[in-house]
Amino acid sequence: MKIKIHAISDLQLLPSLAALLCAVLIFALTQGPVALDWHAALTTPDSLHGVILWQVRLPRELLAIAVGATLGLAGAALQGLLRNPLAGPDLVGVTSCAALGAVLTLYSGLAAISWVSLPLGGLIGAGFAVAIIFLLSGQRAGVLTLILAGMAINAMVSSLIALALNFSKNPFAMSEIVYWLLGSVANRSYNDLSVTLPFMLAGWLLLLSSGRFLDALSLGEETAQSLGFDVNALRWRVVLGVALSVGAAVSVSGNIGFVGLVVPHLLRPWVGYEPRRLLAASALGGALLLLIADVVVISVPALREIKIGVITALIGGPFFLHLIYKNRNAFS
Amino acid sequence: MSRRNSPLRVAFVLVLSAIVLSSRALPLHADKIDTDKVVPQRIASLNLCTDQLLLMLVPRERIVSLTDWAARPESSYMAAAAVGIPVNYALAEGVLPQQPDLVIAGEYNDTAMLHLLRRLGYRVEVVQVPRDLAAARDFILRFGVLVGAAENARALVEKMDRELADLALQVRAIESHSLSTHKPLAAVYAPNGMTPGRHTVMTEILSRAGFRNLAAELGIDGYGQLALERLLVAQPDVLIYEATADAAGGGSIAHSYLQHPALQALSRRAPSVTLPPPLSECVGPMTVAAIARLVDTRRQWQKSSQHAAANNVDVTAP
Repeated sequence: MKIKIHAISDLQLLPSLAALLCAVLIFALTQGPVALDWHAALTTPDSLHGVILWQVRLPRELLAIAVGATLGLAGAALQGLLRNPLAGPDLVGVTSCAALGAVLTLYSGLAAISWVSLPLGGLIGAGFAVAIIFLLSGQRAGVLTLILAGMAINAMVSSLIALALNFSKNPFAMSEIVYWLLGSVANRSYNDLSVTLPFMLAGWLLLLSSGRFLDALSLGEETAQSLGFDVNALRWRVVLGVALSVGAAVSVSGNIGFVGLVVPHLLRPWVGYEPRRLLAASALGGALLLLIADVVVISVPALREIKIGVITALIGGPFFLHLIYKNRNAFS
Repeated sequence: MSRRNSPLRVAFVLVLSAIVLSSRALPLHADKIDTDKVVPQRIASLNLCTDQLLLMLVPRERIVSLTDWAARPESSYMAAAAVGIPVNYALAEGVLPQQPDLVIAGEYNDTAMLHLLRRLGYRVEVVQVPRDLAAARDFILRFGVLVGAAENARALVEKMDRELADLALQVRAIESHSLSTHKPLAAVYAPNGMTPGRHTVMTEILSRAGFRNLAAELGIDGYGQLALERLLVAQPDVLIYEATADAAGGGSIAHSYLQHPALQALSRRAPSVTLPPPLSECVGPMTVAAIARLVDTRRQWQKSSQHAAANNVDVTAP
């Protein structure tokens, strides 16, 4: 297998990704059904156009960035942990389990009791899924086992989400299965961001600090052990980090697919195939991808809002097929 | 050899028999039993709007079953009256146990089920529920004849006419006291950012209460989604939430649309009122109740805007 390396240093890569992210964010803020009066919006935040810019558009895009960063980072971390290039948080069932947890708390009315119960439901669901996948892969399971297990979890959990919505007393519940299975950041406010950001930050911290361990793990478990890493404890740290960040993100955005799979793959050559460097780059890349997807959602005129997961799946699906085609010999 | 051919032969026979059977199938509209002159004593309704009208016109002993929506206060104007009447869930199995002599369905009921009921010999009447008050008047009178309560129907229509005339007088009185000819703009917001536009009863309710409907002016036909940004920019004079006030039994993403801080800030500035869905889901006496509620809002808006005008000359300046 030929390996393309066009690695550039972190000092070049990360600032350029961040700059690109800022540029797309500014572009995203200019998009919307209303033509903004920028002077009024920037000078007086309390004015009509100020409210639209700062209270309607900005929180939505900030949430897209936070959720995208979480998915990219979690994808990179899971791929490093399981030493498996196909381990996106959605493919192995982590995001759908998080969605189930959020659905159970939201529609049962628990989420109305305390703000913390919605992200908590999400992260319990996510934690459950990561633990299952982690235990499976611990038994030296191959790529195929992992993907098939993910498929089974996804199928089971999607039905459980549908079932939970069926039993909800809210008349709108059943039609919201689209939201939970495809995801959306439309009409989100600072409330959603402030409820979930602490959990996401905690998860990011755990994942970003696991870089050296993932580097060592890429050389094999024994090598990592001999290099002085407490393999077991550090593995659970990654599991906890994924559960915290993905659980919180999904609880306010639904199940957005393929970001965690595609982004690490695209960026891997740029970081010289180093799992540690892939983490921060994937976080920025994930944020960028989801923000671009949301720009598409906003700018494409449709009678009903297009779900953001539709866009990411249309990008990610063909990419995934290409990946399988390229690696078909390795799988058989 | 013949064994290898046999699945093919069986398939051929099956297809042939299907064709023969379907050509012998019963016609869709089985001969209607002429019961028009007999007053139906066991009426079943498969539509929320006919459920409610039935409760208004017919003594409950003659109603054998209603949809499950009829007794729910979040969807039915006649919820209290429907409690205790068997529920049919708009399913054939729910209708059959009571052996109704008249089944009333709306145009959106499952046609396969209506077909089945007719085949079993039940009298099924499909009605087109009204979408505006003029149509509702005629509909109630015809419905009264259908269910054998023509007298009650006429009384109900007369009562509606009287109340509507009275409300129209009230609105004219309010408007004649107004300093300007400005007709206040109302924005209606329902869960999921939905809003009723032209050709909905909400536009008629608003116009009869002395308001303009933002969605209709933006060109939305029927129910459409209205982006929060466009709602804010339009600066409506009053905000009408078409939703159940509390999210009892669990929240939803749809309802979270109504909790956006920008919308809440607007509803602190502009008068806002909640119109529960039972008042606008069907057209009839509930529509009159909705208009009455909004005429009150119209009166309040008048007071508050004139109060503001007294304090701030700029507001009334053209």
